[in-house]
Amino acid sequence: MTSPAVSRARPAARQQGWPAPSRRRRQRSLLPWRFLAPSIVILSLITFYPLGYAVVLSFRSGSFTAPGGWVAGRNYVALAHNSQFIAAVRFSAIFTVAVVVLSLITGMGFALAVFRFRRGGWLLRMALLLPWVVPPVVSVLSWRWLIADNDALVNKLLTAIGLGPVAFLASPAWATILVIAIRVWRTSPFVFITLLAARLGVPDELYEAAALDAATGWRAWWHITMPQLRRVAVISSLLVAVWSFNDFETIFLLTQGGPAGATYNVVVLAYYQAFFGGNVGLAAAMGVIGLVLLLALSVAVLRLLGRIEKAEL
Amino acid sequence: MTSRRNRGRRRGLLSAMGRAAVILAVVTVDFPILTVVVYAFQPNQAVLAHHFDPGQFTAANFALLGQLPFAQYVINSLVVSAGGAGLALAAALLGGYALSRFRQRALAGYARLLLIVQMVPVVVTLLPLFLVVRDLHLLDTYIGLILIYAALLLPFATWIARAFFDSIPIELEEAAWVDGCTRLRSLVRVVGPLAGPGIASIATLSFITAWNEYLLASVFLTGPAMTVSVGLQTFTEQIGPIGGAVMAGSVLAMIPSLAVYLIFQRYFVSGALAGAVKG
Repeated sequence: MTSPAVSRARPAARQQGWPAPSRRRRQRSLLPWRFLAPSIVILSLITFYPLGYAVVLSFRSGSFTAPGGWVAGRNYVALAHNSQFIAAVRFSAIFTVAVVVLSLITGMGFALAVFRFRRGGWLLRMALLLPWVVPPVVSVLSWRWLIADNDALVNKLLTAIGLGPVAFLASPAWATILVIAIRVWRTSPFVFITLLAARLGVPDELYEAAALDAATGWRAWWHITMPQLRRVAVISSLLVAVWSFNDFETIFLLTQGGPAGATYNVVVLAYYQAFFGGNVGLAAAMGVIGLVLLLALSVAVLRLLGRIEKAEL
Repeated sequence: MTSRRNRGRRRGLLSAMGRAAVILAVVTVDFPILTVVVYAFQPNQAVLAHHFDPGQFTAANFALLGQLPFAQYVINSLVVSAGGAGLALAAALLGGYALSRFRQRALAGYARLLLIVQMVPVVVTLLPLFLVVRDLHLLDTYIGLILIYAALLLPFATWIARAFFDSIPIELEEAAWVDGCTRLRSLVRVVGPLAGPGIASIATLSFITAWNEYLLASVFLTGPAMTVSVGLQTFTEQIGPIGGAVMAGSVLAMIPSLAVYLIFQRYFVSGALAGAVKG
Protein backbone atom coordinates (compact mmCIF):
# COMPACT_ATOMS: atom_id res chain seq x y z
CA MET A 1 0.00 0.00 0.00
CA THR A 2 2.64 2.51 1.02
CA SER A 3 4.56 4.07 -1.78
CA PRO A 4 7.30 6.60 -1.16
CA ALA A 5 6.98 10.27 -1.89
CA VAL A 6 7.05 11.44 -5.46
CA SER A 7 10.38 13.19 -4.87
CA ARG A 8 12.11 9.86 -5.36
CA ALA A 9 11.43 10.22 -9.04
CA ARG A 10 14.24 12.75 -9.29
CA PRO A 11 16.83 10.53 -11.03
CA ALA A 12 14.40 9.93 -13.85
CA ALA A 13 13.67 13.62 -14.21
CA ARG A 14 17.36 14.45 -14.40
CA GLN A 15 17.93 11.86 -17.06
CA GLN A 16 15.26 13.39 -19.22
CA GLY A 17 17.10 16.67 -19.03
CA TRP A 18 14.23 18.96 -18.13
CA PRO A 19 15.51 22.55 -18.06
CA ALA A 20 14.66 24.48 -14.92
CA PRO A 21 13.92 23.15 -11.42
CA SER A 22 10.64 25.03 -11.16
CA ARG A 23 9.41 23.62 -14.45
CA ARG A 24 10.54 20.22 -13.37
CA ARG A 25 8.46 20.27 -10.22
CA ARG A 26 5.38 21.27 -12.15
CA GLN A 27 6.00 18.55 -14.69
CA ARG A 28 6.33 16.02 -11.96
CA SER A 29 3.03 16.86 -10.37
CA LEU A 30 1.39 16.55 -13.76
CA LEU A 31 3.08 13.24 -14.55
CA PRO A 32 0.39 10.96 -13.03
CA TRP A 33 -2.22 12.81 -15.04
CA ARG A 34 -0.37 11.98 -18.22
CA PHE A 35 -0.67 8.31 -17.28
CA LEU A 36 -4.36 8.87 -16.62
CA ALA A 37 -4.95 10.77 -19.86
CA PRO A 38 -6.20 7.81 -21.93
CA SER A 39 -8.67 6.82 -19.17
CA ILE A 40 -9.89 10.36 -18.76
CA VAL A 41 -10.40 10.86 -22.50
CA ILE A 42 -12.42 7.64 -22.82
CA LEU A 43 -14.47 8.21 -19.66
CA SER A 44 -15.17 11.85 -20.50
CA LEU A 45 -16.52 10.98 -23.91
CA ILE A 46 -18.50 7.86 -22.96
CA THR A 47 -19.47 8.43 -19.32
CA PHE A 48 -18.98 11.92 -17.87
CA TYR A 49 -20.30 14.00 -20.75
CA PRO A 50 -23.39 11.80 -21.33
CA LEU A 51 -24.03 11.72 -17.57
CA GLY A 52 -23.92 15.52 -17.36
CA TYR A 53 -26.12 15.69 -20.45
CA ALA A 54 -28.62 13.32 -18.81
CA VAL A 55 -28.80 15.55 -15.73
CA VAL A 56 -29.46 18.56 -17.99
CA LEU A 57 -32.09 16.62 -19.92
CA SER A 58 -33.88 15.77 -16.69
CA PHE A 59 -34.73 19.46 -16.34
CA ARG A 60 -36.10 19.76 -19.86
CA SER A 61 -39.17 18.61 -21.67
CA GLY A 62 -39.56 17.25 -25.18
CA SER A 63 -38.82 14.05 -27.03
CA PHE A 64 -35.78 12.36 -28.47
CA THR A 65 -36.09 14.06 -31.86
CA ALA A 66 -37.69 17.35 -30.76
CA PRO A 67 -36.09 18.70 -27.59
CA GLY A 68 -38.26 21.12 -25.66
CA GLY A 69 -37.59 23.93 -23.23
CA TRP A 70 -36.62 24.17 -19.57
CA VAL A 71 -39.19 22.93 -17.12
CA ALA A 72 -37.07 23.33 -13.97
CA GLY A 73 -37.99 20.58 -11.49
CA ARG A 74 -41.31 19.72 -13.05
CA ASN A 75 -40.16 16.30 -14.31
CA TYR A 76 -39.24 15.34 -10.76
CA VAL A 77 -42.53 16.64 -9.40
CA ALA A 78 -44.39 14.70 -12.08
CA LEU A 79 -42.57 11.50 -11.09
CA ALA A 80 -43.59 11.92 -7.47
CA HIS A 81 -47.20 11.62 -8.65
CA ASN A 82 -46.57 8.99 -11.34
CA SER A 83 -48.05 5.72 -10.06
CA GLN A 84 -46.10 3.64 -12.59
CA PHE A 85 -42.80 5.15 -11.44
CA ILE A 86 -43.69 4.71 -7.77
CA ALA A 87 -44.54 1.07 -8.48
CA ALA A 88 -41.19 0.68 -10.27
CA VAL A 89 -39.29 2.16 -7.30
CA ARG A 90 -41.13 -0.22 -4.99
CA PHE A 91 -40.32 -3.15 -7.29
CA SER A 92 -36.64 -2.14 -7.45
CA ALA A 93 -36.51 -2.01 -3.66
CA ILE A 94 -38.19 -5.41 -3.20
CA PHE A 95 -36.07 -6.95 -5.96
CA THR A 96 -32.81 -5.57 -4.55
CA VAL A 97 -33.50 -6.55 -0.94
CA ALA A 98 -34.70 -10.04 -1.92
CA VAL A 99 -31.70 -10.66 -4.19
CA VAL A 100 -29.20 -9.41 -1.60
CA VAL A 101 -30.66 -11.50 1.23
CA LEU A 102 -31.13 -14.68 -0.80
CA SER A 103 -27.70 -14.38 -2.48
CA LEU A 104 -26.12 -13.94 0.92
CA ILE A 105 -27.89 -16.97 2.37
CA THR A 106 -27.11 -19.28 -0.57
CA GLY A 107 -23.61 -17.88 -1.05
CA MET A 108 -22.82 -18.32 2.66
CA GLY A 109 -24.33 -21.82 2.71
CA PHE A 110 -22.31 -23.01 -0.26
CA ALA A 111 -19.12 -21.32 0.97
CA LEU A 112 -19.28 -23.01 4.37
CA ALA A 113 -20.27 -26.35 2.80
CA VAL A 114 -17.55 -26.35 0.14
CA PHE A 115 -15.03 -25.30 2.80
CA ARG A 116 -15.71 -28.60 4.58
CA PHE A 117 -14.75 -30.74 1.57
CA ARG A 118 -11.37 -32.40 1.78
CA ARG A 119 -11.10 -33.38 -1.87
CA GLY A 120 -13.02 -32.23 -4.92
CA GLY A 121 -13.76 -28.81 -3.41
CA TRP A 122 -12.13 -27.16 -6.42
CA LEU A 123 -14.51 -28.96 -8.76
CA LEU A 124 -17.56 -27.80 -6.80
CA ARG A 125 -16.17 -24.26 -6.72
CA MET A 126 -15.72 -24.33 -10.48
CA ALA A 127 -19.24 -25.69 -11.05
CA LEU A 128 -20.80 -23.15 -8.68
CA LEU A 129 -19.29 -20.19 -10.50
CA LEU A 130 -20.77 -21.19 -13.88
CA PRO A 131 -24.07 -19.25 -13.57
CA TRP A 132 -22.02 -16.10 -13.00
CA VAL A 133 -19.90 -16.66 -16.13
CA VAL A 134 -22.61 -17.66 -18.62
CA PRO A 135 -23.99 -14.81 -20.80
CA PRO A 136 -27.29 -13.51 -19.33
CA VAL A 137 -29.07 -14.06 -22.65
CA VAL A 138 -28.27 -17.77 -22.39
CA SER A 139 -29.18 -17.99 -18.69
CA VAL A 140 -32.56 -16.37 -19.17
CA LEU A 141 -33.21 -18.47 -22.26
CA SER A 142 -32.41 -21.69 -20.41
CA TRP A 143 -34.65 -20.79 -17.47
CA ARG A 144 -37.46 -19.71 -19.73
CA TRP A 145 -37.20 -22.98 -21.60
CA LEU A 146 -37.53 -24.90 -18.35
CA ILE A 147 -40.66 -23.05 -17.17
CA ALA A 148 -42.39 -21.06 -19.90
CA ASP A 149 -44.58 -23.51 -21.84
CA ASN A 150 -47.27 -25.87 -20.64
CA ASP A 151 -45.09 -28.80 -21.66
CA ALA A 152 -41.85 -27.31 -20.32
CA LEU A 153 -39.87 -29.56 -18.01
CA VAL A 154 -40.95 -27.96 -14.74
CA ASN A 155 -44.58 -27.97 -15.84
CA LYS A 156 -44.32 -31.64 -16.85
CA LEU A 157 -43.10 -32.40 -13.34
CA LEU A 158 -45.86 -30.31 -11.77
CA THR A 159 -48.46 -32.02 -13.94
CA ALA A 160 -47.11 -35.42 -12.98
CA ILE A 161 -47.63 -34.69 -9.28
CA GLY A 162 -50.98 -33.07 -9.97
CA LEU A 163 -50.07 -29.42 -9.36
CA GLY A 164 -49.66 -28.02 -12.81
CA PRO A 165 -49.22 -26.74 -15.33
CA VAL A 166 -48.63 -23.21 -14.07
CA ALA A 167 -48.50 -20.24 -16.46
CA PHE A 168 -45.51 -18.78 -14.64
CA LEU A 169 -44.89 -15.76 -16.87
CA ALA A 170 -48.58 -14.76 -17.01
CA SER A 171 -48.84 -14.37 -13.25
CA PRO A 172 -47.44 -11.17 -11.68
CA ALA A 173 -46.48 -12.99 -8.49
CA TRP A 174 -44.72 -15.86 -10.26
CA ALA A 175 -42.99 -13.51 -12.71
CA THR A 176 -41.64 -11.51 -9.77
CA ILE A 177 -40.44 -14.64 -8.01
CA LEU A 178 -38.77 -15.87 -11.20
CA VAL A 179 -36.82 -12.69 -12.01
CA ILE A 180 -35.62 -12.66 -8.40
CA ALA A 181 -34.68 -16.36 -8.60
CA ILE A 182 -32.72 -15.92 -11.82
CA ARG A 183 -30.91 -12.88 -10.48
CA VAL A 184 -30.03 -14.76 -7.27
CA TRP A 185 -28.85 -17.66 -9.41
CA ARG A 186 -26.57 -15.29 -11.32
CA THR A 187 -25.16 -13.30 -8.36
CA SER A 188 -24.88 -15.78 -5.47
CA PRO A 189 -21.77 -17.38 -7.07
CA PHE A 190 -19.99 -14.07 -6.55
CA VAL A 191 -21.02 -13.93 -2.88
CA PHE A 192 -20.02 -17.59 -2.55
CA ILE A 193 -16.50 -17.07 -3.87
CA THR A 194 -15.79 -13.94 -1.81
CA LEU A 195 -17.05 -15.62 1.37
CA LEU A 196 -15.13 -18.83 0.65
CA ALA A 197 -11.92 -16.80 0.24
CA ALA A 198 -12.67 -14.95 3.48
CA ARG A 199 -13.43 -18.21 5.33
CA LEU A 200 -10.12 -19.70 4.17
CA GLY A 201 -8.44 -16.69 5.78
CA VAL A 202 -9.92 -17.24 9.25
CA PRO A 203 -7.25 -18.81 11.52
CA ASP A 204 -8.16 -22.21 13.01
CA GLU A 205 -6.77 -21.10 16.36
CA LEU A 206 -9.90 -19.01 16.89
CA TYR A 207 -12.08 -22.12 16.67
CA GLU A 208 -9.74 -24.13 18.88
CA ALA A 209 -9.85 -21.45 21.55
CA ALA A 210 -13.64 -21.30 21.28
CA ALA A 211 -13.90 -25.09 21.53
CA LEU A 212 -12.24 -24.86 24.95
CA ASP A 213 -15.15 -22.64 25.98
CA ALA A 214 -17.52 -25.25 24.57
CA ALA A 215 -18.46 -22.93 21.69
CA THR A 216 -18.91 -25.21 18.70
CA GLY A 217 -21.41 -25.61 15.88
CA TRP A 218 -23.91 -22.78 15.69
CA ARG A 219 -22.35 -20.86 18.56
CA ALA A 220 -18.93 -20.96 16.89
CA TRP A 221 -20.58 -19.80 13.67
CA TRP A 222 -22.29 -16.89 15.41
CA HIS A 223 -19.34 -15.79 17.56
CA ILE A 224 -16.41 -16.44 15.22
CA THR A 225 -17.39 -17.10 11.60
CA MET A 226 -19.92 -14.27 11.33
CA PRO A 227 -17.76 -11.47 12.79
CA GLN A 228 -14.77 -12.65 10.74
CA LEU A 229 -16.71 -12.72 7.48
CA ARG A 230 -18.79 -9.62 8.17
CA ARG A 231 -16.69 -7.09 6.31
CA VAL A 232 -16.45 -9.16 3.13
CA ALA A 233 -20.13 -10.11 3.39
CA VAL A 234 -21.19 -6.46 3.65
CA ILE A 235 -19.01 -5.26 0.78
CA SER A 236 -19.95 -8.05 -1.60
CA SER A 237 -23.63 -7.59 -0.65
CA LEU A 238 -23.30 -3.91 -1.46
CA LEU A 239 -21.97 -4.83 -4.91
CA VAL A 240 -24.84 -7.27 -5.35
CA ALA A 241 -27.25 -4.50 -4.35
CA VAL A 242 -25.80 -2.15 -6.97
CA TRP A 243 -25.97 -4.82 -9.68
CA SER A 244 -29.51 -5.81 -8.73
CA PHE A 245 -30.82 -2.29 -8.57
CA ASN A 246 -29.28 -1.59 -11.98
CA ASP A 247 -30.33 -4.95 -13.42
CA PHE A 248 -31.69 -4.58 -16.91
CA GLU A 249 -30.96 -7.90 -18.62
CA THR A 250 -32.73 -10.37 -16.33
CA ILE A 251 -35.99 -8.45 -16.31
CA PHE A 252 -35.94 -7.20 -19.88
CA LEU A 253 -35.10 -10.60 -21.36
CA LEU A 254 -37.52 -12.61 -19.22
CA THR A 255 -40.63 -10.46 -18.80
CA GLN A 256 -40.05 -7.08 -20.55
CA GLY A 257 -41.54 -5.60 -17.38
CA GLY A 258 -44.73 -7.60 -17.69
CA PRO A 259 -47.16 -9.15 -17.09
CA ALA A 260 -49.28 -6.00 -16.84
CA GLY A 261 -46.25 -3.95 -15.75
CA ALA A 262 -45.75 -6.07 -12.61
CA THR A 263 -41.96 -6.41 -13.03
CA TYR A 264 -40.91 -2.93 -14.16
CA ASN A 265 -37.94 -1.74 -12.19
CA VAL A 266 -36.65 1.84 -12.41
CA VAL A 267 -34.06 0.96 -15.03
CA VAL A 268 -36.34 -0.95 -17.40
CA LEU A 269 -39.07 1.68 -17.05
CA ALA A 270 -36.57 4.44 -17.85
CA TYR A 271 -35.42 2.49 -20.92
CA TYR A 272 -38.96 2.22 -22.29
CA GLN A 273 -39.70 5.84 -21.42
CA ALA A 274 -36.52 7.02 -23.17
CA PHE A 275 -36.82 5.06 -26.39
CA PHE A 276 -40.57 4.53 -26.77
CA GLY A 277 -42.29 6.84 -24.29
CA GLY A 278 -41.48 10.07 -26.11
CA ASN A 279 -40.53 11.97 -22.96
CA VAL A 280 -36.77 12.05 -22.69
CA GLY A 281 -36.67 14.46 -19.74
CA LEU A 282 -38.88 12.19 -17.66
CA ALA A 283 -36.71 9.16 -18.48
CA ALA A 284 -33.55 11.07 -17.54
CA ALA A 285 -35.11 12.17 -14.26
CA MET A 286 -35.95 8.52 -13.45
CA GLY A 287 -32.33 7.52 -14.03
CA VAL A 288 -30.99 10.39 -11.94
CA ILE A 289 -33.30 9.50 -9.04
CA GLY A 290 -32.11 5.87 -9.31
CA LEU A 291 -28.47 6.94 -9.16
CA VAL A 292 -29.09 9.20 -6.15
CA LEU A 293 -30.87 6.38 -4.29
CA LEU A 294 -27.93 4.03 -4.97
CA LEU A 295 -25.34 6.55 -3.83
CA ALA A 296 -27.30 7.20 -0.64
CA LEU A 297 -27.52 3.46 0.03
CA SER A 298 -23.79 2.96 -0.54
CA VAL A 299 -22.75 5.83 1.69
CA ALA A 300 -25.14 4.67 4.43
CA VAL A 301 -23.91 1.06 4.30
CA LEU A 302 -20.20 1.99 4.30
CA ARG A 303 -20.73 4.48 7.17
CA LEU A 304 -22.57 1.83 9.19
CA LEU A 305 -19.82 -0.71 8.55
CA GLY A 306 -17.17 1.80 9.60
CA ARG A 307 -19.08 2.65 12.78
CA ILE A 308 -19.55 -1.00 13.75
CA GLU A 309 -15.88 -1.74 13.19
CA LYS A 310 -14.83 1.30 15.18
CA ALA A 311 -17.16 0.38 18.04
CA GLU A 312 -15.46 -3.00 18.32
CA LEU A 313 -11.93 -1.70 18.53
CA MET B 1 1.00 -25.27 1.99
CA THR B 2 1.65 -27.51 5.00
CA SER B 3 -0.50 -25.33 7.22
CA ARG B 4 -3.26 -25.72 4.70
CA ARG B 5 -3.05 -29.48 4.89
CA ASN B 6 -3.13 -29.33 8.69
CA ARG B 7 -6.13 -27.11 8.53
CA GLY B 8 -7.83 -29.57 6.21
CA ARG B 9 -7.27 -32.32 8.71
CA ARG B 10 -8.52 -30.25 11.60
CA ARG B 11 -11.52 -28.53 10.10
CA GLY B 12 -14.77 -30.44 10.52
CA LEU B 13 -15.32 -32.38 7.32
CA LEU B 14 -18.72 -33.37 6.01
CA SER B 15 -20.21 -36.82 6.38
CA ALA B 16 -20.89 -38.88 3.26
CA MET B 17 -24.55 -37.87 3.41
CA GLY B 18 -23.64 -34.21 3.74
CA ARG B 19 -21.27 -34.44 0.79
CA ALA B 20 -23.91 -36.12 -1.35
CA ALA B 21 -26.42 -33.38 -0.47
CA VAL B 22 -23.98 -30.61 -1.38
CA ILE B 23 -23.03 -32.30 -4.66
CA LEU B 24 -26.72 -32.71 -5.52
CA ALA B 25 -27.32 -29.03 -4.76
CA VAL B 26 -24.42 -28.00 -7.01
CA VAL B 27 -25.73 -30.14 -9.87
CA THR B 28 -29.15 -28.54 -9.40
CA VAL B 29 -27.56 -25.11 -9.67
CA ASP B 30 -25.98 -26.04 -13.00
CA PHE B 31 -29.10 -27.83 -14.25
CA PRO B 32 -30.39 -25.05 -16.56
CA ILE B 33 -26.98 -24.82 -18.25
CA LEU B 34 -26.75 -28.60 -18.56
CA THR B 35 -30.18 -28.86 -20.21
CA VAL B 36 -29.15 -26.33 -22.85
CA VAL B 37 -26.03 -28.34 -23.63
CA VAL B 38 -27.95 -31.63 -23.82
CA TYR B 39 -30.79 -30.26 -25.96
CA ALA B 40 -28.36 -28.60 -28.38
CA PHE B 41 -27.67 -32.15 -29.56
CA GLN B 42 -31.30 -33.27 -29.75
CA PRO B 43 -33.32 -33.16 -33.00
CA ASN B 44 -35.24 -29.94 -33.55
CA GLN B 45 -38.66 -31.58 -33.09
CA ALA B 46 -37.55 -33.02 -29.75
CA VAL B 47 -36.48 -29.56 -28.65
CA LEU B 48 -39.75 -27.96 -29.73
CA ALA B 49 -41.78 -30.69 -28.00
CA HIS B 50 -39.61 -30.55 -24.83
CA HIS B 51 -39.02 -34.21 -25.42
CA PHE B 52 -35.82 -35.98 -24.50
CA ASP B 53 -34.72 -38.88 -26.67
CA PRO B 54 -31.54 -40.59 -25.41
CA GLY B 55 -31.06 -42.53 -28.65
CA GLN B 56 -31.15 -39.47 -30.91
CA PHE B 57 -28.07 -37.36 -30.47
CA THR B 58 -27.31 -35.24 -33.53
CA ALA B 59 -25.28 -32.22 -34.59
CA ALA B 60 -27.98 -31.08 -37.04
CA ASN B 61 -28.76 -27.96 -34.98
CA PHE B 62 -25.24 -26.72 -35.48
CA ALA B 63 -25.53 -27.28 -39.23
CA LEU B 64 -28.75 -25.25 -39.17
CA LEU B 65 -26.84 -22.38 -37.53
CA GLY B 66 -24.61 -22.37 -40.61
CA GLN B 67 -27.57 -21.16 -42.66
CA LEU B 68 -28.04 -18.22 -40.29
CA PRO B 69 -25.52 -15.36 -40.03
CA PHE B 70 -24.33 -16.79 -36.73
CA ALA B 71 -20.64 -17.04 -37.67
CA GLN B 72 -20.66 -13.33 -38.48
CA TYR B 73 -22.14 -12.58 -35.03
CA VAL B 74 -19.38 -14.61 -33.40
CA ILE B 75 -16.75 -12.60 -35.28
CA ASN B 76 -18.47 -9.34 -34.28
CA SER B 77 -18.54 -10.38 -30.63
CA LEU B 78 -14.91 -11.46 -30.66
CA VAL B 79 -13.77 -8.18 -32.21
CA VAL B 80 -15.66 -5.88 -29.83
CA SER B 81 -14.95 -7.97 -26.70
CA ALA B 82 -11.24 -8.34 -27.40
CA GLY B 83 -10.99 -4.72 -28.58
CA GLY B 84 -12.88 -3.31 -25.60
CA ALA B 85 -10.99 -5.48 -23.11
CA GLY B 86 -7.65 -4.64 -24.73
CA LEU B 87 -8.28 -0.91 -24.71
CA ALA B 88 -9.56 -1.00 -21.11
CA LEU B 89 -6.53 -3.05 -20.07
CA ALA B 90 -4.04 -0.62 -21.63
CA ALA B 91 -5.71 2.47 -20.16
CA ALA B 92 -6.27 0.77 -16.77
CA LEU B 93 -2.62 -0.28 -16.46
CA LEU B 94 -1.44 3.29 -17.05
CA GLY B 95 -4.13 4.72 -14.78
CA GLY B 96 -3.70 2.10 -12.06
CA TYR B 97 0.04 2.75 -12.08
CA ALA B 98 -0.52 6.47 -11.56
CA LEU B 99 -3.00 5.85 -8.72
CA SER B 100 -0.64 3.40 -7.03
CA ARG B 101 2.67 5.27 -7.34
CA PHE B 102 1.73 8.91 -6.86
CA ARG B 103 0.14 10.61 -3.88
CA GLN B 104 -2.06 13.58 -4.64
CA ARG B 105 -5.34 14.71 -3.22
CA ALA B 106 -6.86 14.98 -6.70
CA LEU B 107 -5.77 11.42 -7.50
CA ALA B 108 -7.58 10.06 -4.44
CA GLY B 109 -10.63 12.00 -5.56
CA TYR B 110 -10.35 10.49 -9.02
CA ALA B 111 -10.18 6.99 -7.55
CA ARG B 112 -13.35 7.67 -5.58
CA LEU B 113 -15.02 9.07 -8.68
CA LEU B 114 -14.35 5.74 -10.42
CA LEU B 115 -16.30 3.97 -7.67
CA ILE B 116 -19.25 6.30 -8.14
CA VAL B 117 -19.11 5.85 -11.92
CA GLN B 118 -19.53 2.13 -11.37
CA MET B 119 -22.93 2.77 -9.81
CA VAL B 120 -24.30 4.79 -12.71
CA PRO B 121 -27.05 2.76 -14.36
CA VAL B 122 -26.22 2.25 -18.04
CA VAL B 123 -29.73 3.41 -18.91
CA VAL B 124 -29.08 6.93 -17.58
CA THR B 125 -26.29 7.64 -20.02
CA LEU B 126 -27.70 5.52 -22.84
CA LEU B 127 -29.66 8.23 -24.63
CA PRO B 128 -27.09 11.04 -24.50
CA LEU B 129 -24.47 8.45 -25.41
CA PHE B 130 -26.53 7.50 -28.44
CA LEU B 131 -26.42 11.14 -29.58
CA VAL B 132 -22.66 11.34 -29.03
CA VAL B 133 -21.98 8.14 -30.95
CA ARG B 134 -24.32 9.23 -33.74
CA ASP B 135 -22.59 12.61 -34.06
CA LEU B 136 -19.23 10.86 -34.29
CA HIS B 137 -20.70 8.62 -37.04
CA LEU B 138 -19.80 5.55 -34.99
CA LEU B 139 -23.22 3.89 -34.83
CA ASP B 140 -23.04 0.26 -35.99
CA THR B 141 -19.26 0.35 -36.08
CA TYR B 142 -16.88 -1.82 -34.09
CA ILE B 143 -14.93 1.21 -32.91
CA GLY B 144 -18.04 2.75 -31.36
CA LEU B 145 -18.83 -0.26 -29.18
CA ILE B 146 -15.15 -0.89 -28.42
CA LEU B 147 -14.87 2.64 -26.96
CA ILE B 148 -18.09 2.15 -24.99
CA TYR B 149 -16.94 -1.21 -23.60
CA ALA B 150 -13.58 0.29 -22.66
CA ALA B 151 -15.39 2.96 -20.62
CA LEU B 152 -17.68 0.36 -19.07
CA LEU B 153 -14.74 -1.82 -18.00
CA LEU B 154 -12.28 0.92 -17.02
CA PRO B 155 -13.41 1.66 -13.44
CA PHE B 156 -13.04 -1.84 -12.03
CA ALA B 157 -10.06 -2.62 -14.28
CA THR B 158 -8.27 0.44 -12.90
CA TRP B 159 -9.04 -0.59 -9.31
CA ILE B 160 -7.66 -4.07 -9.88
CA ALA B 161 -4.57 -2.67 -11.62
CA ARG B 162 -3.96 -0.33 -8.71
CA ALA B 163 -4.26 -3.19 -6.20
CA PHE B 164 -1.72 -5.25 -8.13
CA PHE B 165 0.75 -2.38 -8.53
CA ASP B 166 0.48 -1.74 -4.79
CA SER B 167 1.82 -5.27 -4.26
CA ILE B 168 4.95 -4.65 -6.38
CA PRO B 169 7.75 -2.95 -4.40
CA ILE B 170 8.79 0.43 -5.77
CA GLU B 171 12.48 -0.28 -5.01
CA LEU B 172 12.68 -2.43 -8.14
CA GLU B 173 11.70 0.56 -10.23
CA GLU B 174 14.05 2.93 -8.43
CA ALA B 175 16.99 0.81 -9.51
CA ALA B 176 15.83 1.20 -13.11
CA TRP B 177 15.45 4.98 -12.75
CA VAL B 178 19.04 5.22 -11.55
CA ASP B 179 20.02 3.42 -14.72
CA GLY B 180 18.26 6.10 -16.72
CA CYS B 181 14.85 4.60 -17.37
CA THR B 182 11.87 6.91 -17.68
CA ARG B 183 8.73 6.23 -15.67
CA LEU B 184 7.00 4.77 -18.68
CA ARG B 185 9.92 2.52 -19.59
CA SER B 186 10.30 1.26 -16.03
CA LEU B 187 6.58 0.49 -16.05
CA VAL B 188 6.92 -1.56 -19.24
CA ARG B 189 10.30 -3.21 -18.60
CA VAL B 190 10.42 -3.70 -14.82
CA VAL B 191 6.85 -3.76 -13.54
CA GLY B 192 5.26 -5.26 -16.64
CA PRO B 193 6.77 -8.74 -16.33
CA LEU B 194 5.83 -8.86 -12.61
CA ALA B 195 2.29 -7.67 -13.27
CA GLY B 196 1.50 -10.75 -15.36
CA PRO B 197 -1.10 -12.15 -12.94
CA GLY B 198 -2.72 -8.72 -12.62
CA ILE B 199 -2.86 -8.32 -16.38
CA ALA B 200 -4.36 -11.80 -16.72
CA SER B 201 -7.01 -10.98 -14.09
CA ILE B 202 -8.05 -7.74 -15.75
CA ALA B 203 -8.02 -9.24 -19.23
CA THR B 204 -10.15 -12.27 -18.32
CA LEU B 205 -12.71 -10.34 -16.24
CA SER B 206 -12.96 -7.66 -18.93
CA PHE B 207 -13.29 -10.06 -21.83
CA ILE B 208 -16.01 -12.12 -20.15
CA THR B 209 -17.94 -9.02 -19.08
CA ALA B 210 -17.80 -7.60 -22.60
CA TRP B 211 -18.67 -10.91 -24.27
CA ASN B 212 -21.72 -11.32 -22.01
CA GLU B 213 -23.01 -7.73 -22.34
CA TYR B 214 -26.42 -7.30 -23.95
CA LEU B 215 -27.99 -3.84 -23.53
CA LEU B 216 -25.27 -1.63 -25.04
CA ALA B 217 -24.63 -4.10 -27.84
CA SER B 218 -28.33 -4.15 -28.73
CA VAL B 219 -28.37 -0.37 -29.12
CA PHE B 220 -25.03 0.34 -30.78
CA LEU B 221 -24.50 -2.65 -33.09
CA THR B 222 -27.50 -3.61 -35.21
CA GLY B 223 -28.05 -5.51 -38.44
CA PRO B 224 -25.16 -7.63 -39.66
CA ALA B 225 -22.87 -6.10 -37.03
CA MET B 226 -24.85 -7.68 -34.14
CA THR B 227 -23.09 -9.49 -31.33
CA VAL B 228 -23.82 -13.11 -30.43
CA SER B 229 -26.04 -12.26 -27.45
CA VAL B 230 -28.17 -9.85 -29.46
CA GLY B 231 -28.32 -12.21 -32.43
CA LEU B 232 -29.40 -15.09 -30.23
CA GLN B 233 -32.16 -12.96 -28.74
CA THR B 234 -33.46 -12.03 -32.20
CA PHE B 235 -33.43 -15.72 -33.18
CA THR B 236 -35.67 -16.57 -30.23
CA GLU B 237 -38.06 -13.87 -31.39
CA GLN B 238 -37.97 -14.89 -35.07
CA ILE B 239 -37.99 -18.66 -34.93
CA GLY B 240 -40.90 -18.59 -32.52
CA PRO B 241 -40.74 -21.04 -29.66
CA ILE B 242 -37.11 -21.77 -28.93
CA GLY B 243 -35.76 -24.22 -31.46
CA GLY B 244 -32.78 -26.50 -31.76
CA ALA B 245 -30.74 -23.82 -33.52
CA VAL B 246 -31.15 -21.50 -30.55
CA MET B 247 -29.94 -24.25 -28.22
CA ALA B 248 -26.91 -24.85 -30.43
CA GLY B 249 -26.29 -21.09 -30.66
CA SER B 250 -26.51 -20.84 -26.86
CA VAL B 251 -23.83 -23.47 -26.48
CA LEU B 252 -21.55 -21.63 -28.92
CA ALA B 253 -22.29 -18.33 -27.13
CA MET B 254 -21.23 -19.86 -23.80
CA ILE B 255 -17.99 -21.37 -25.07
CA PRO B 256 -15.73 -18.28 -25.17
CA SER B 257 -16.77 -17.14 -21.68
CA LEU B 258 -16.47 -20.63 -20.25
CA ALA B 259 -13.18 -21.34 -22.01
CA VAL B 260 -11.57 -18.14 -20.77
CA TYR B 261 -12.96 -18.77 -17.28
CA LEU B 262 -11.81 -22.39 -17.10
CA ILE B 263 -8.33 -21.71 -18.48
CA PHE B 264 -7.65 -18.60 -16.40
CA GLN B 265 -9.80 -19.52 -13.38
CA ARG B 266 -7.22 -18.51 -10.79
CA TYR B 267 -6.72 -15.05 -12.31
CA PHE B 268 -10.42 -14.51 -12.88
CA VAL B 269 -11.21 -15.26 -9.24
CA SER B 270 -8.31 -13.26 -7.81
CA GLY B 271 -9.31 -10.28 -9.94
CA ALA B 272 -12.89 -10.46 -8.76
CA LEU B 273 -11.72 -10.69 -5.16
CA ALA B 274 -9.31 -7.78 -5.54
CA GLY B 275 -12.12 -5.68 -6.95
CA ALA B 276 -14.51 -6.70 -4.19
CA VAL B 277 -12.24 -6.36 -1.20
CA LYS B 278 -10.54 -3.16 -2.27
CA GLY B 279 -13.78 -1.55 -3.31
